[in-house]
Amino acid sequence: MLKKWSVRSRALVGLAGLVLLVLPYILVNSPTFVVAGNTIALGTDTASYAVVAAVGVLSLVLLLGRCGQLSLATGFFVGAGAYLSMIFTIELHAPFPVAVVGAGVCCGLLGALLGLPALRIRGTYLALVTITLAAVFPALVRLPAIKEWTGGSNGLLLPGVPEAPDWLPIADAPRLLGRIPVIGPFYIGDRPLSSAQAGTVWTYFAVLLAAGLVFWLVAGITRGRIGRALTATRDHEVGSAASGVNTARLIVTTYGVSSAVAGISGGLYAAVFRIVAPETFGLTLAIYLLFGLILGGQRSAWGAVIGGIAVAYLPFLTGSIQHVPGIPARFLSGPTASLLLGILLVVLALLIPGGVVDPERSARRRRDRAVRATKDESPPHDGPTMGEEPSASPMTSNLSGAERSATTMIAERNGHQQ
Amino acid sequence: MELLLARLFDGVANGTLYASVALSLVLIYKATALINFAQGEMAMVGAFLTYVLAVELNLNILVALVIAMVASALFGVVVHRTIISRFDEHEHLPVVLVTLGLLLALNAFVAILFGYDTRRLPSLLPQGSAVQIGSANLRWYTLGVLVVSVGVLALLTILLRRTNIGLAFRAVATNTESARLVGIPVSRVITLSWAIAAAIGTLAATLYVSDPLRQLDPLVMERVLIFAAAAAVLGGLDSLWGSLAGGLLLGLSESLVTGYVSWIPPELGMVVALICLALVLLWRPSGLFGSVQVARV
Repeated sequence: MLKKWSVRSRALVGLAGLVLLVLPYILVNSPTFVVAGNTIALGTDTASYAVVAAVGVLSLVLLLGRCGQLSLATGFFVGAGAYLSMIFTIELHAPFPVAVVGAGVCCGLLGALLGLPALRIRGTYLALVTITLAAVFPALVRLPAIKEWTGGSNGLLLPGVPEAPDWLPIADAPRLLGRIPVIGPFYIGDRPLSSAQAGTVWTYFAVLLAAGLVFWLVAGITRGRIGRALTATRDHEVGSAASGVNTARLIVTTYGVSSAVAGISGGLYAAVFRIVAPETFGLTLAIYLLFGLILGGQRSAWGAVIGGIAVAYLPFLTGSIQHVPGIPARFLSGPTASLLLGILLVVLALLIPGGVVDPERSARRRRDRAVRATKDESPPHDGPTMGEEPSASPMTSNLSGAERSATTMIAERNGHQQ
Repeated sequence: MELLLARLFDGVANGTLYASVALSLVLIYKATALINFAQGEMAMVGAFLTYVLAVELNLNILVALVIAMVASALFGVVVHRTIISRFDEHEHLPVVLVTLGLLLALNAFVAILFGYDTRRLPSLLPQGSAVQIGSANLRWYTLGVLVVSVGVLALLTILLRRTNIGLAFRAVATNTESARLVGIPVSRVITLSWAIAAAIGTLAATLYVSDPLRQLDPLVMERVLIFAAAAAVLGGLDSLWGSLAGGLLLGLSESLVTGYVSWIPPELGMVVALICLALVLLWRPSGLFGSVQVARV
């Protein structure tokens, strides 16, 4: 069912890959820009956090966008993943990647468990119950009974410093990359990285690799049969059940997978910042991730990437910008990010409810374009003549008539994902 | 025994206030099947308005409260008219997102204007204790809060049962389409419910922070919103008196559990809300007094 990638999209993906590889070497030297009196010093950590946030938003895309379950507990699972991967590393001395996977599995099981009672409640009701879970997380980890493991109000610190493995030429790469024209000499240079710098760059690559794996796995799960079942269940649960989809199993599984993704995102958060505190994961984080969802688009993995970048960089930018003519300083130094994000959330929901990447909108546009193209080519006769292959997309041409129309409809709603 | 009484009194005072905020959630849910997650923060803004009027402009606290309630009601009208009514009423996600955005924005706005310092509001209710049983005080505050909350609930019930507006509201709550067909101005009725809900929220928030033992700061209502949400779900989201039952249940279990269970200290009372919610929902998914939803295919 894979659609062949066009030359243009192949070139775009190649370019994006190249940028992602070179980017940490530019950011690690903290390039500084001065914009209208504001100093903006970029760093590798914010880029790594953008990747982490993208995984968090992906978890929402899966559960809210694809499955239509209005669950806001993602903030809870991100927190649980961060804490669990820390605890696995500190208490059980597990290697960190194993700890992250373990945390993901635990969160997945927990999420599936949450999905069971959630099957019985719907819509806003579900949102109301699950938001309690997200808001209570800081209180939960401070419970004295588990304080020994969670560190109570102090949070946890991952011991040691990140070290790049020797078998990867991470520290020496600037020698090669420094020769790139224009940006090379300015931002990369040709000195090898210090071991601390190599550590942050290595963290970035590790997080990026992990996130890539998660995106690939989720794309694999939600493509094809399961993806169509998800769409059908979201749009009409009863109809989907009548067509043979085991909706209960599907929804509970989606809860599990989505929570596992959120848990892994939390584990990656712990890898990037190496410190977790109760207040980081509460209601505010849940709303920030929702902002990423509505900005990027509820139904597309690419939207999650855009959402993640916004979730990481919006607070970073509002933190750096301290002088804007005409705006009092107190508005720029306080919780500006939250104010801006809250307003943007309202405005975006009003103006572009589908988000920046909206597969339905682009599918409609593609279809309109195709219709125009056939109108231009076809000779003036009405409808398909006898013996002619009826106009259907090639991916469905081996199906019978009734099945074809239903699948085409679903595929159109799906927006031919990939 | 005295300790138990003191804890019961505390629980009742908190519980009735949770119930009042829950009531404003329930009112909007009944009319539109939507939840206003920004209710707590709208109430917090109202409480700050009362503070500004009473402390910085030296108005009488009661006058200040009334002005703040009217202003909140107007704000509720504006929010519903300009934002909420633009969305399809059958789509839950956008409204949930928008009200959560409002929650974040209002909270940050007040924090920017007033900072996170705590402020003291002059007491609305008489100080001191009404009844003293050993070391347990039944404070005038507790009694006053109980009377006001139950009074508001009773007034609202009368409004819904005995007036034409109430009849229209109940018609909208039962079936929006049919209500529209018989000529009820549905949108206006819903706007009115937003106004009333916002005013009740401000009343509850002001009462909550006017307790001499509490102070006003921008974060005070997040906790209350969670308890109110839990109370509304416990009582049944479409039951007015259920919200009182849910609020009392939560307030009492919060003060008793954090008092007697050593592994849940008082500042982590939210955990109790979560446990109560989980237990009741497993047993009755539509709450204690909520009507059971039947989906017809």
